[in-house]
Amino acid sequence: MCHERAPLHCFVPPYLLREIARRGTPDQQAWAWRALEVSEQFRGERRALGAIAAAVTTPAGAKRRSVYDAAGGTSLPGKLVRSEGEGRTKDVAVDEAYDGAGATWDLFSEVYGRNSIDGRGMRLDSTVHFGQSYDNAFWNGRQMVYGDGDGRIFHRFTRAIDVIGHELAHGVSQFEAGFAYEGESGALSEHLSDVFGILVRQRKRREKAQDSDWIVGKGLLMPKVKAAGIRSMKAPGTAYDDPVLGKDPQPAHMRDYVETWDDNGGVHINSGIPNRAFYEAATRIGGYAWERAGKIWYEALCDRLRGDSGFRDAVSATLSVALERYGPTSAEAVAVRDGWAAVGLKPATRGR
Amino acid sequence: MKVRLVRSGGFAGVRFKAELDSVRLPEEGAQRLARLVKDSGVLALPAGGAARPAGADRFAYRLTVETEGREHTVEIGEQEVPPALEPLIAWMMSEAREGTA
Repeated sequence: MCHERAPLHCFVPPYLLREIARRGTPDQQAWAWRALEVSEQFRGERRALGAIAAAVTTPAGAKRRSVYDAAGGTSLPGKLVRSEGEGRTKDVAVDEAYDGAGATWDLFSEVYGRNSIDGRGMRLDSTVHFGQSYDNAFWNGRQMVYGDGDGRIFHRFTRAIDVIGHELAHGVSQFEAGFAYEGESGALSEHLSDVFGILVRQRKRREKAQDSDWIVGKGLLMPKVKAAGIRSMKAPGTAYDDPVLGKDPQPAHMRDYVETWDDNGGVHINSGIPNRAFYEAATRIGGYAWERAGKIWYEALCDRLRGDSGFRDAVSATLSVALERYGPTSAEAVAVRDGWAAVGLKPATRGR
Repeated sequence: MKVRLVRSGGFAGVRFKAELDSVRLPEEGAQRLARLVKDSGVLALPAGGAARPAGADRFAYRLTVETEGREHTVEIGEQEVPPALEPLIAWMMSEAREGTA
């Protein structure tokens, strides 16, 4: 971690520098700024610094949500149907998109101190009723988009709040690590979206790690489909087994990593491996997963991971955050190390 | 003529596949397949590999057409599908959803 290019600054981890840049005396702020600049240059990333600059120079952000209706078409964003502060509509998808975006914004703001998707108060735009029988939800680089499902296999996609958290978290990842959406880095993007998605649901339900089912996309499939949900973070590969859907293809261990051309190199498949590592770490730590496990993963996303990061970089990143925040013999650091070991991953022998 | 479609990705990451073969379709279906393939311009599309635009959880299609001793495969993200290709993909996806493939 420590390099001669930044001998002074490397003792202070980036999350602490951010705190100082936000809350320190003017002298401390100026010092933290220079340190952050050096470390950002060193990491070759400028976006993150832009986000911090905004966090320092703009007051604590307020939630700004807009929900649009595509009315079965594919033009985005569609017609504006609900803005921040407006009352409920008669459209359940509109209200679910509004409430889910709010719960996700609250997690990032109240627990991680983040001002929206980009860290600078970006408006949260969502479009519902996208396409005809469209069985998907996605992040298009600027906003969240939800289909109604085909009504035979898939329900409407706003029905599961963790789907909303998942899509919004793709936006956060875009402004932080900026993962290349393929192979291991793409699977890390999917993994982090599942993590923050399930944390939004657990926090809304005040559910502890050991009490959660860790099922992503619960309630998204119609009742006659043989499925608990879309993905199991606790036991990847067991979420569904159905004549039409087939069997859940997720591996739960690195030895079963799936090499494929489909799905941008299996980004929704191999995310099962880090997903289970998070479950293992969070349940070992215990309590509310968004508090400590979630914070470690969030700091790793913001300060340690980059566009080309792979699974082993994620091991090193989360472990180094846990070591710095909680200490080398802490239950948190041990849980993170053991969580990754459970899926067959060890930290890289050399950091970078 | 044989046409195979694989749809992967999307939030759910569920893989759907379908195959249509002229010799196994009723005459009307075989004609429809030939017409949709011709109208789609799929045989003139590049194999793929275009830089992916920003975003996540979009569907990815892999479409393979076998005709007159030639095989052509196109890999394409849903946001890049030309309108002329949409009817062929929609038909094959309805077949895939029946679980008959």
